[in-house]
Amino acid sequence: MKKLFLLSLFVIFTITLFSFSYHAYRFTIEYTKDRQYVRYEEVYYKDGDKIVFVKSPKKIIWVKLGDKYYIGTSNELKLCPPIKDLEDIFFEYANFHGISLDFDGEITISEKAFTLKALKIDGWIREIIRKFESVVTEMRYIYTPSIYTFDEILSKFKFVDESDVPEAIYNIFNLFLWFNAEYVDDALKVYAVDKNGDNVLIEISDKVGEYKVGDYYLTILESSEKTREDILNEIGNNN
Amino acid sequence: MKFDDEFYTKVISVFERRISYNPGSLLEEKIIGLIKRKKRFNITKIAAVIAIAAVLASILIFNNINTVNQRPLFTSYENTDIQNIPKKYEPIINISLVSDGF
Repeated sequence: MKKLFLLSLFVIFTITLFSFSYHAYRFTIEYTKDRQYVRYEEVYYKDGDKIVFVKSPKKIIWVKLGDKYYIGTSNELKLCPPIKDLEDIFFEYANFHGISLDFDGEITISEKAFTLKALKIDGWIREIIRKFESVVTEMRYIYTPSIYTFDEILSKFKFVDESDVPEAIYNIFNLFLWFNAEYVDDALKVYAVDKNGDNVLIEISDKVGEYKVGDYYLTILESSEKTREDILNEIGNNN
Repeated sequence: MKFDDEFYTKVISVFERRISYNPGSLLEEKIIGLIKRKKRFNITKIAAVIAIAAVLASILIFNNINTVNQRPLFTSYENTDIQNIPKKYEPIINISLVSDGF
């Protein structure tokens, strides 16, 4: 019994000692040839889990809990596909290339379609910059202490394990580097760049379209041959 | 001919009638008028310079405002009336706003 108690104490001590958390405000600025996009958000991070309060351009909350992701605009958050910010993307590519994250200074990762640069000072990531052709995305951190803990904030939310959009449609987004969507003429137009850097344009409608996915219709308006095949594989229509 | 006082007075009166010239206060008024005109011209000149500067400044300011307008910050809302987006599409729009890639 005494041994078990000591072991429990050791485990709690180790978890507390090596637990990593932060609270920060982040600015993400995306520069294109003739446009700028700004996102401002507050982040609570703890051991790989995240609560992100997007404050601008629109109030949205998203949470990463283990392998699950939730999104919403109130205290009820619904299941959604993985959301990756520049930090996650940098970590993913650094791990893929076997680059240690325990660095101080600047690291640049060059991929076929883009480059990623991260600046870390005193163990804290200060800036991550991605360059894809003429599009530059920059994420800057301002770390501040918070009066609330990660768990206190997390307890305010209700998590619903069902999604509004069919999983097959969400899976299509995993084929892209990123995408932008707009609602035009009773349909959602999704402008995307695939992982080879080629443009993709798909249309999601609840009335008409080439392929039926759940309650939705999907039309591929522009894509490379390979991405078209990948999309059809995801929605199970490639015979 | 002897220019006595009487003759001199006659000559002056003749000239006075012909050219309406009256030395004295009239000349002073003319000079004062000239100075006033010069002053007025100077004020007009300064006012014109200020007006041109103001016009140039406003052109630059409005031109700048137009430039900002031409570069919408929130590209996702550029052609989209957010109020008219059906609820079912909102999660996709929201993900496109908060995600930096996949």
